[in-house]
Amino acid sequence: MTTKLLGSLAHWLAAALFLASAPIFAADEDVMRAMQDELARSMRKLQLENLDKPYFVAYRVVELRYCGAAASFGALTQSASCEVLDQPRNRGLSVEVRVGDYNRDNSNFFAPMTTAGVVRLGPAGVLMPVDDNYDEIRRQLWLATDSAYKTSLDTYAKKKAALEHRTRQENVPDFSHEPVIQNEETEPHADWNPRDMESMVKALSVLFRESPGIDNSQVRFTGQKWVVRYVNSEGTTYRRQKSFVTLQVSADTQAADGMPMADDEAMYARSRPGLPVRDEMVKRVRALAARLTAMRKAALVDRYSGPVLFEGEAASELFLQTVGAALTGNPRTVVDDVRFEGMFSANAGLNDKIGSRILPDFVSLKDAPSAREFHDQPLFGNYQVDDDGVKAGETELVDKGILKALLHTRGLIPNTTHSTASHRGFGASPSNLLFTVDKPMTSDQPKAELIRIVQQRNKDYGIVVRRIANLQLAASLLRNRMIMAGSGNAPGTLRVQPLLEAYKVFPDGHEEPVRNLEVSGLTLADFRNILAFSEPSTVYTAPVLILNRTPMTSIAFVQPGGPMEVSANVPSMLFEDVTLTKPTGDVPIPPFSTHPYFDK
Amino acid sequence: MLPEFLSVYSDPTARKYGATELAGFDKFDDEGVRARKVTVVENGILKNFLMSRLPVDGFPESNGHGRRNITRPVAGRQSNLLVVASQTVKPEELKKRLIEEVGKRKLPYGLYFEDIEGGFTAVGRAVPNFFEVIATMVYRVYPDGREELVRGVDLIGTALSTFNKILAADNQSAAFNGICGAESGVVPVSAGGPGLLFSEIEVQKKAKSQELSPILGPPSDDK
Repeated sequence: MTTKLLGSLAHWLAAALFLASAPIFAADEDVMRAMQDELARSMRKLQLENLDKPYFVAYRVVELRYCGAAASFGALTQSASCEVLDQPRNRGLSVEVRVGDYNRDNSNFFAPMTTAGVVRLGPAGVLMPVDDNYDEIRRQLWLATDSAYKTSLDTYAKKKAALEHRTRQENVPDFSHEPVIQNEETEPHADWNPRDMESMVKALSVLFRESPGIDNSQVRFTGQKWVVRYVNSEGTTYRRQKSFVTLQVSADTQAADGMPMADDEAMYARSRPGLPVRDEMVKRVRALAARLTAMRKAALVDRYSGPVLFEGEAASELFLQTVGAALTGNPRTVVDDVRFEGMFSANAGLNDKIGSRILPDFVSLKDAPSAREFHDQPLFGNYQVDDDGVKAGETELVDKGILKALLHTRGLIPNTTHSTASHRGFGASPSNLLFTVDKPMTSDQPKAELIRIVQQRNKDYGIVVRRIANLQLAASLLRNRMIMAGSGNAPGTLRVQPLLEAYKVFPDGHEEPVRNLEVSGLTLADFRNILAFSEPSTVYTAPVLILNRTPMTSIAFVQPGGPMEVSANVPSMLFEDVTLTKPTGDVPIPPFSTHPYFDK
Repeated sequence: MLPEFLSVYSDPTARKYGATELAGFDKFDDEGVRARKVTVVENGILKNFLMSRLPVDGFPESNGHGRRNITRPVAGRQSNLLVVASQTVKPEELKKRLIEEVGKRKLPYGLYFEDIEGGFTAVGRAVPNFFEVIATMVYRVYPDGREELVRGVDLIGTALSTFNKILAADNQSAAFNGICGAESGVVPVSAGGPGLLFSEIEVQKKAKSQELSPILGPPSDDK
């Protein structure tokens, strides 16, 4: 059985070679024409009695094609559900209608939400026909615009009333003026081969039959293709065609004392041929299995406080979950109901840190959505225009350690006049975070430096961390046994997911694995005093949970129009003093009987 | 609990009712118990319950009505619920008797319900028991026989007092298929029976929207 499935690896590799790279979308003039015609009619005629006419209307239509397969232990758990390859799975419409003016409109206001009209347009938009049917698309646009306009009028009236009895301390315009552009971004869409997907996930998942210590594993392939069409009343239009494939391998088990352990491996590409070749995939799945098997038997450490080196992927996750996730700025939201004020209190994020040093003075950082590659490695946060149709460029975030700017959308934050072209899906988000480090260490120097500090401080050992869990990767698989939630963090400290792979480093350089450690009490200030950085040369990509995000206010495009992952070249980072603890809480007992496959 | 001329069955083994294929048809219920016809009410008297394998006092066995949808625990649920009348009249006669009742009681009009879109009920000991039926096609029937289509009316009431007021049934039985939701999830069901004349039934106004019509006409107006 094992031999047969491994043999089929050769088949899907052969199939992959035949994949053609060709656009698969039919001419779409009807969709864009319907959007432009209804937009023009709305701007010309839409007005309720003597109330404000809309000053800005935008339509965004996102269509998604999706195909995926999953397997566990050599058996298919999800067949490649993509029979109709040339049809979108769905086509979602979002409508943005603004009344008032750029300075003060219906946005950035929070009150218990109301909707109006026949369609009841919610923040998630409405589903449109997947057929390019001009009349039906216009009918839907008509009712959705009517609903959005009435809701905007309602919100604007409430916001004006709320502002009547207060003085605003900041007078930041609600909506920025941006240059009008027309853009067409067409990433070639490679064909999907469902049989290739199925044989790939089966052949990789069967490798776990070599690992008796792992009791649950899954291999999942996901392919997504988007076409986004956008028009607004300022004259900006864009059409964005993107594709993204993910191969995710995850495994979990329990240590002998019952403590849950998990690890995963994600591979990303713009299309199937961009994924690693077969041998590399097999190597990485086996490495994941070996890592988890070794970690299962590793020692537990109650508590450690001292120098910690975060290497490679661990450094990336640490940075993205903490500082990276806080690099967005949100407009100040007017809240009419004091019960909800608390939801917005953390809204300012790092706003008050602009001009302060947040990283060592030999480190700079920019966000570069327009970049497609870094040192021949793909950057998946790439786009030409953001969801609002603002041309993507580069934003200098940190210059020699000093925080210079935050990423935001056309909803302005204090001391800004233009969007940073960072609107991705729900709100502002980093895209490609690129570090530069003056006088970086070579790759093996940070470990030597760690040992030097260990010796200097007469410690038995230091800690090197190589992998940290990503909550969204784990959650996206509906894993039935999560890593135990971390111990409570004190206010003001940064929350970091559990460490998946960590080692004690002894003065003689040898390493011993330690399991189930968590970062405790880390603060933003700790990043300012990082002792050493390696050369930022390797790109890591992962989904990032954005902190300080504005809760839903009346205007939002929430459907992603492309991959939401962030790519970053975070260097390895040596901290002088970090506290690591084991998780608190009850531990589930291991299964009563052994794995039936290995019980022979 | 019903007039003597009415009986109620739940019969999952029935595939068809007249020309209608029945959605509650099944050979086995969701606990693997062979489905069978159950007489719930016989000549007006409550005789039995629809049972899953969870026994209740006096009813120790399943009668093949343990139903659920996936992820929910099984409960005793209806399959094909059929109301049968032992005395019937023609539909014209039933309408005539409605007009007679209106005249006898000096009412301005009676109500004739032609179609409904669904309904719901609350049962259990901790809540008031009631039912509500969402009507779609309702006519006022005046003493002179004139009919007028009206809107905004729903049927409400409590089961025992309402169903005791059934005066007559017609001979035109019809069945419909639907989806029934309850504690064990949504399951496909059918219900069938004759037209019924009630001496009294309670109605309430439907909720009314304050919504404006769309401001602009449809795009097709704009050509």
